[in-house]
Amino acid sequence: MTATIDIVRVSHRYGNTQALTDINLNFEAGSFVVLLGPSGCGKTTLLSVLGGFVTPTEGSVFLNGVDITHQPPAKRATTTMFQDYALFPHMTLIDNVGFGLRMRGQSKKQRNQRAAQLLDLVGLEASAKKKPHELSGGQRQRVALARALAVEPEVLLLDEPLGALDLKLRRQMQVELKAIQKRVGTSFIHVTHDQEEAMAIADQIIVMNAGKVEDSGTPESIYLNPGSAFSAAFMGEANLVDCTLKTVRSGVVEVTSFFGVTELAAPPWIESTNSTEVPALLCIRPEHLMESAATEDAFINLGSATVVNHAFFGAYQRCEVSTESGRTFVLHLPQLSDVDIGAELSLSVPVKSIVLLPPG
Amino acid sequence: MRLSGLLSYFYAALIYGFIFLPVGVLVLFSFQDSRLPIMPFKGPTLKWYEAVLSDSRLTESMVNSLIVAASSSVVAVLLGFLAAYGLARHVLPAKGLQRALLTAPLTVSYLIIALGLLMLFNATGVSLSLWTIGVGHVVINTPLCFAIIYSQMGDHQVNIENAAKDLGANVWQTLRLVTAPMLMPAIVASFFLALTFSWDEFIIAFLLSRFDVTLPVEIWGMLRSGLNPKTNAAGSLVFLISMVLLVLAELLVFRRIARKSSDH
Repeated sequence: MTATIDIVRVSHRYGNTQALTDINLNFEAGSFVVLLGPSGCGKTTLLSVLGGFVTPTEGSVFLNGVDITHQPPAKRATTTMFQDYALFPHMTLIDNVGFGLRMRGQSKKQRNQRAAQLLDLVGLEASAKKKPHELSGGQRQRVALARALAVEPEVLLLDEPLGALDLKLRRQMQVELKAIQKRVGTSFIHVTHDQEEAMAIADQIIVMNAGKVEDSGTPESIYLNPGSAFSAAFMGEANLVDCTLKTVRSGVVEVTSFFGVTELAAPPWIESTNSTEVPALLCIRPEHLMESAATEDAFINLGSATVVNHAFFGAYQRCEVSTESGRTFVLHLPQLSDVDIGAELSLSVPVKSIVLLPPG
Repeated sequence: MRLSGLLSYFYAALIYGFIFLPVGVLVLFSFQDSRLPIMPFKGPTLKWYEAVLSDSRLTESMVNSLIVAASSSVVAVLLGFLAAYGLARHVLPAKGLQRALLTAPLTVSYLIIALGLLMLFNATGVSLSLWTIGVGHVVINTPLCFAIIYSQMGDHQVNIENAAKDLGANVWQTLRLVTAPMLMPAIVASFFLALTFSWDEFIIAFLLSRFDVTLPVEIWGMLRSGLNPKTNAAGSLVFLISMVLLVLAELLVFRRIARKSSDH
């Protein structure tokens, strides 16, 4: 079972705090959506609006085209997997998983059969008679997933479900979650503040900040072509450089920055008719910065810089460098590069990899 | 042993003596083989227990006490639980005031409560019976049950209740299948406390009863005709039953709580 979700002009206030501002989103049926953002960005509030625990002050939510804004959680075809799992402490695992079916009037035999199937799906069939307090964090997590899936929801809402697990288990559960989602085909909407987790599992990522949607797209498009400076900096590391843009002809802008003047393809957010100078930011990913003076047109020369900080990260070396004009850049150098603090580097960047963003 | 050590032992013995000596004396002289429960001790004999158990008024009042204690405790726990749930889980006007009003009867003397109820029953023409004693005991025990259960209702249970609702449970199903079982230790503990409080309560039972009386009132009646080892035997039985309730509560509730918390 799976469904499309449309969020139309949703805003929410808690007293004087504006938690959500004019959210408009569409989620395809059967997709794995991740709401990504720092704590307090409104992602959990949005999930509560979808789950029915919060009625938004303005706007509507549609499930398969039907307005569900004022439906209580029990009547919705959504189920929520809570951050603290919220398992029933006094019930065995099989009773926990079968609870939703019990509320739907299924006989004990029927629901136990289905619950056993789901415990099997999450690899806990042998623990059916145990109680939640006998399980580890990762196991509780799986029971919560089985319980939520048992009622065959159209949409499963996951509120930072992996937050309490250690890193290794978290990576493992991400793979499992993704695999289970593909297997059951239900739409998953998953809240997290961990951008690596988002990239590992999402079909679609929604980057949120201060109650607004900053960016939306596949992990690849958000990383390589972020829609805002916040999105660029939140999804991985980014070097942001001040510059000004001037449209010189249709689809081409003249970029003026510390390294000089160059021409680049016009970003979609700029008005092509406007020929005045507008402030903007150049976004350069650390792995796109190269240690060599450019000789070809496909590269931009950024001048020389001194290494001020240096650390070995396994797959790459992370360097902080400072240019003569006092700008700091972060770059990733190959694993076996021979650099040290104080070394002089010539920096260049491929034109193709540069993204032009609106300021702030 | 040092002097301070000796002193602390002496102090402890004094405290326990102060608390338990009266009960010990009461129980001892219930075995007195004479007409008066005073020194010197002659005995032991079980004839006074025989007299108590063959006294139909005493055994009837004992049964009355059990009926009143059990039923008033069930009602008090139920009301206390619902009040705690309402206050802990819903946005209510003047919440602090409502909570204060609910617990206020704990500070009012039983005598005042009994007098108030007596006037109310007289004014409304309700005749005094075991029912009216039960009402009195519900009045004194509901605040207690409320306070115990409310103290155990934490925010961590809110998500668990939300999960139940999310999976399709209505309010009553959530209360019955999730909230109450989660709070069972607090519920059972408050039930046993209410039971023991009602079991040996005297003033309310005395003022709000007429023909059918509870055991403490019956014993008071016996005392009016002077001291007698039979009253000692009746008192010892009251004490014994209180102890049994206490041990039951210990075995049923507190052991389980201790075991549960040691699991984590």
